[in-house]
Formats: sequence, structure tokens, C-alpha cells
Amino acid sequence: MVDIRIKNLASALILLTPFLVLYTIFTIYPLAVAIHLSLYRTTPYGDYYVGLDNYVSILTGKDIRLNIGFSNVLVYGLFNAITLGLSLLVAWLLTRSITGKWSTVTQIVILLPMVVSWVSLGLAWTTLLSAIRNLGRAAGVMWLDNPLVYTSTAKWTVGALITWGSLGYATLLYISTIRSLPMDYFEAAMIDGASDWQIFRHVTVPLLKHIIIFQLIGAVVAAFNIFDPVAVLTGGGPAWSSTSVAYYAARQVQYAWNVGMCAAIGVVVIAIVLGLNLFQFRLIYKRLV
Amino acid sequence: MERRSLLIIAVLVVLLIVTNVATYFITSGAVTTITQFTTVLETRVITQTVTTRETVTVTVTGIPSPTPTPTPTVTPTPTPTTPAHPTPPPPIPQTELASLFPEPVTIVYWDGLTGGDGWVFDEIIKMFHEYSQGFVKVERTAIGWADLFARLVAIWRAGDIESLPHLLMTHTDEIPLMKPFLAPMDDLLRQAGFTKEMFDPISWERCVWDGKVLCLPWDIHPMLLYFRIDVAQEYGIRIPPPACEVYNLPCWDRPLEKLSDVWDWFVKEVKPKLPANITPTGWINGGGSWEFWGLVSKNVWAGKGTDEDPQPEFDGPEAMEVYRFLYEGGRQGIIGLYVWPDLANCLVGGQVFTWYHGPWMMATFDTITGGCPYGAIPLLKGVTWYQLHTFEITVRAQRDPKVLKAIEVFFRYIYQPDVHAFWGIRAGHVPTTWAAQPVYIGKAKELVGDLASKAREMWSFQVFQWGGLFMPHHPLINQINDILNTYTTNLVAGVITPEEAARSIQQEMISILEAWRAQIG
Repeated sequence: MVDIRIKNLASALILLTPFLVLYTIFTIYPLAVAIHLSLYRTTPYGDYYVGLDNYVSILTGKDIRLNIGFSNVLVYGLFNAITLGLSLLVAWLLTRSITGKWSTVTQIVILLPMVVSWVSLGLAWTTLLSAIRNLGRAAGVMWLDNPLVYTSTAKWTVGALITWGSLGYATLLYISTIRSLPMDYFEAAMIDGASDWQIFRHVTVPLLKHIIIFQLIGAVVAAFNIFDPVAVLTGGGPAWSSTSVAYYAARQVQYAWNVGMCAAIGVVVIAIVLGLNLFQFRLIYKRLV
Repeated sequence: MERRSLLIIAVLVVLLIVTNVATYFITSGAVTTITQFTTVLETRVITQTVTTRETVTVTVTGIPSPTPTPTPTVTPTPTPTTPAHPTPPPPIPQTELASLFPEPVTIVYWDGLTGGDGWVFDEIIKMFHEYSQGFVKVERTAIGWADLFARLVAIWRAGDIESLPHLLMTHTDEIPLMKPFLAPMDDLLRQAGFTKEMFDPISWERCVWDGKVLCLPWDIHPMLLYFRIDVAQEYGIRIPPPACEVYNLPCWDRPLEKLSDVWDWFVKEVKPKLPANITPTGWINGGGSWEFWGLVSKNVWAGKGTDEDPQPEFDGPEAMEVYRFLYEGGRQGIIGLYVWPDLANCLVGGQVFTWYHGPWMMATFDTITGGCPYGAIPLLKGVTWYQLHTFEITVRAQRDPKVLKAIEVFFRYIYQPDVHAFWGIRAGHVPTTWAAQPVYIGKAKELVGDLASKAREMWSFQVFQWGGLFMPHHPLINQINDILNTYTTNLVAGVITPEEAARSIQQEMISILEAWRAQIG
């Protein structure tokens, strides 16, 4: 019996070896290097060991810009969550209510931003928002302004871009999931006289709860990694008001050559994301399954 | 598969290809990162109506330098002098190039000139290639400034010397960051026949580090207050001297020598006369550090210390004056916040009356089809912030005598007065060699036209006669400017008061300095 187990284990390890090798090279090793780097203040002249100074600096909120980045995680996470809600609704409409050629047109419009790079999207928005301001000025409508210029509105504009740019992918995911749901539930609901909204609320959403929760947590995790929309639209400004954690970390390398701080931020984010994933695991697989 | 699904997929694929190809063509050649993309594309958006760029042929030899009237004294020090100065060595005769370079040599050259001045440098390289007949080739790559240094330092720290360029053009501010991989130029310059007497002394001095020449000064440039001539004419706005005389406009009562003069002019003259939909002046949100240095009357980083061993005074009276200027300017509608391309577009479009910015914008404004009737007003006697473009060679070039010789050939070509002056006039910078300056004065009208040459005259003579300061030299300069960018924007936006800004900026500067001292020593 033991021999069989050992034999099975050996077989499993052999089969897993390619994955383990690649995982070690591309995940474990970089993580180990990042943790090592995070203990140093890097400069063009050399690396200076600073111990946990970088972590202390992050966790005590020493740099206001990083604090803003962390607080913007909530803002961008909120927009990601709005995206999911909207995409679920749009997916439902596309599979039920909007049919025929209008369904084709709607799908193209919704999915279009998905195939355009963030750089192009950001450029289009920058041009559009500038044009709105210029038109306003020319017409003497002074309140019509470029929201990217103000610290109070810049991050919400970035969030709106994130929603617009991400809607397509999430909608596609929900469309395919809704179409894979067993029709029996819907037929039974229709026979019972349920309206479209009641079917959506009491049948569709409960059947999709695993994916919804999975994506909601993914939305918060993704908020740590927002980079492209911030870089293209605002450069983290004005006055760092729209910066994200990822953008701030990148700037540490570009402007301060402080690779150690960038690595420390990465390690902190990994720890947070790991915690979120453990929470998600317990929530989905322990309680809801 | 349903026909409808196929149609959707086909449309999406076509759109994917079209948008990505369009993005490539818009940004090709100079884009490696997203931040650089916006810098390049902003410039291209401004010039999208330009159909052709002017090609100017500069005769390499034999042009007599006209006697300028008035004779300028171009110096960054308050005491103007006009000593006799040697001319840079002439280009090596073309007939000798074949024997010097039995095989073609390529100089790998990087700079951060991604704007209008970059286009002018491309023209200079083209002129050089016509001269060098293929024996020496300069392979230029323009990278956004932030990425340039990050990339260079990353290459250096990775030990990948062969990936370094041979030749760089940067600013003297960044020398502290780049010192580890820069090679001294003393031997190269001696071999080529360059001496310090050929250059204005302030520029040369900024290139000597630890007794060695680490860079060769190329141009010097302070910031300028651009203004729309037609808007001034339409609304009867009086312009401060000496600009009023140069542009033949009614004169305001005094030049803008102090920040209080600037404030008075905006409050008493400009704002009352402009309509509500034209902003008196613009401020780039997130980009106010250069402007801060241009307005502050003291090196508040060094304070009572030095650049290398500073005692920051960002809460001192000189800095407070700037904070109050920005705060009240934003509050009273004098200063409007803009993103970068908006501000350039708005000045060109006439919705912003003035803009305090670098001279490199001239190269861009000059290419606007239909013209952009801009003028320039010099600001702040004795304190206008200067910046230097300089050439550096790396340790990679130092290893290869053939490349060093090729760099010598390149320098001797581009530093000849006509070419150096061409750069200065077209790109909007002042050449640092004495010999180029009279040519610069004499040929400005010919190369850029009467109106544009006046802006060059205003800035290059008047500002230099007034004297100025240089940006601090410290490895933390980028972080210092990041902090200033944050707070200057917040001041104009009215989010913080001058007192809060002073306290916060000083705290942050002390904090990064202490961390640097503790960690690096």
C-alpha cells in the first residue's frame, strides 16, 4: 500500500516537474529577488542595505503620494465593481431583450473598447476632453472644463475610462456564462409567470453568484495594478491625485531609481492580494459550494 | 457558427488592426513607453496641420559674421564682458575622412529631445551625414527624459556596458545620477582642439566635476513668458519693456524684474482688459517644478549650504513669495490649470494669453501652419532659472578609439559657428560657444523670420544680460521636482494654502534628504 502511494507520488512529481520548474523560474525566483531588493535603497552608485526601512515607510504612510495611491485603490476598485454590475446587466439584455440587428450593433459598440489599446483609448479621451474645454471657452461657457485638470475630478475621470474600457471583456464573459446556464430554470420561471426582471434577480444572479464574487474580488485586486489608464490620461496627476499603487511604484524607478522601494511596494501588494484570495477561497469554496 | 457572431468578430478584428496600425504610425520612431508616448503625441497634435518642414541649407565655411546692432553681450553673469575668444576647431576636411575611417563607424547616440528641438537635431544629423559621406554615422534615439535616465542606470547596474550608447545629450542636473558610467572628456577635447575659452565660463564650469570635464556644453536656455501678440493688440494690453519696444506695442510702466512686478502687471493690466474666456496665464498641472525654480529668487534647495550639502529653505521668504503668487493667482483667476497639450494648444488658439515655459516651444510654434503670432517677455532679473544641454560620452565609447575619433569628427562639425547657431536659432536655445553667438544674432531673421527672431532676441539677450541661477545639482533632483510638482499644482488649484505648502514641502525635502544621508551618507 505504501509502495503504491510512493509510486503514485513519484509519478505525480514527475508529471508536475515541468510546471514546477517554470513556476520556480518565473514566479518564485522573481519573488525572492524582489524581497531581497526590497531590503535595499538602490542608487546608480550601488545598493545600500536599509533593512525594513522601505516597509516601515510604506506602512507608516510616510509618502503622501503612496497613500493617495492606496486610497485610490478603493476608487478604482469601485469603478471595477460598477463595470461588473453594468456588464452583467448588459449581458442579460443582450441575451434576452435586445435581439436581431440591434443586438449585433450593441455588441460591437460594447466590445469595441476591448480591442483598442489603453494608449489609444486614453489619447482619444484626452483629445475629447480638451476639445470640450476649448468649445466651452469659445462659446463663453466657462463651467465646461477639462476634468483632468482638477484634483477633485481627475481620478473619477480615470475611473470612467477604466469602466468604459473594461466593459466589453466582462460583458463577453457574462454572455458566455449566461448562455451556458441550463434553460430549465428559466423555462420553469417563465411558466410560473416571472417577469424578465424577476428572472434576472431570482434565477440568473443566484446561478452566477460564484462568478460574480470571483470577479468582485478580482476587481479589487486589479485596482492595485491599474497603470495604463493613469499613465496615459493623467500621468498620476494633477498633483498625484489620480495615481495608482502600480504607477507610483513605477515612478520610484523612473524618477528616483529606488528599485528597492518599488520592490517593497510589490511585496506589500502581494501580501494584500494573497489575503484577498484566501478570503475569496473561503467564501466561495467553503461557504457557497 | 452564427452569421451574426461571425460579423461581430470580423468587425472587431478589422477595428483592432486599424486602431493599432494607426497608433503605430502616429507614434512610431520615438515611443517606448506610455509616458513617452504622450510627450511625443502632444507635440504631434500641435503640428498636425503642418505639411512640410522647412529645409535650411547652412553654408559650412566662409560666411562672414555680420556686425550686430546693437552688439550683444551674452553672458549669464550680471557683469557683461566681451572678451576675445577662440573659435572651435573647424571640421576635419572631407578628404581625410577616408584615411581616418577605413571602415564606417557608427556612433550610438541617445538624447531626450522628443519635441520640436528634436526635429532640429535630426536636421543637424542629416547635415552631418552629408558631410561625413558614410564614413561616420550617428544613430540617434530620442527617449523621454525620465525613461532615458532610468534606462541608462538600469543598463549600468546590470553591467551591460555594450548596451550603453556611446554619446548622450542630457542636462547638467543629471550628471550626479550618471557619473558612474560617464567617461571624462579631457583627452578627447584636447585631441579635438576644444578649450574652455571657446565656451562661456558658466557653462564650462558646470561641466567640470572633481577636476575632470564630464560634459561638453551645447546650449543654455532659461524659461520665457510667451504671449499672444494679436491678443495684446486686440485688447490694448501694455507689454513690459523691453518686449514692448521690440514688438512695437504700448509699454507697461516697468520691466518684470521681480515677482511682484509680474503680479502687478497681471492684476492691474492684463486681467482687467482680457475677456472672461481668455485666461491671463496657464500652469501645467503636475508640471510646475521648472516654473517654480524660474520664479524663486534664491536656490532654496541649497539654502545656506551647497547643492551637495544643502540646508533647504522651502519655508523661507523667497519660497513663500512664490507660493502666495500661485495661490492668489489661482484664486483670482489669473492662473489657470491646464494639461500640457491643452496649454500649448490654448496659447496657439488664443485662449491663454501668456505661458511661462521653455524656449524649446519656439521650435514647435514656428511650425504651426498659418503662424502663431507669439512674442516673448523676459522674466525676473538675476533669478531666471537656467538649464544646460550638454554632451557626454560613456565608458562604452571610452573603450573604442575609433568611436572616440568619430565623436571628435562629429563635435568638430556641429560646433562650427554656423551649425551651432543653426541649432540655437531653430531649436530655441542659445549656443554656448562665443563664436556661434554673433552668427546666431545675424542669421535669426533669415532662418526663422522676423517675428520669431524677436522672441530669440528677447530671451537670449535680455535674459542673459540680467543673469540667472541654475537648477540644483543633486541626485535627488527628480524627487525634489516631483514634490514641487505636487504642491505647486495644489496651490494653483486652491487645495492648500501657502503656509500649508511651505510646511509640507519643507518637511518632505528634509525627509528625503535625511533618508538619503542616513542611507547613502
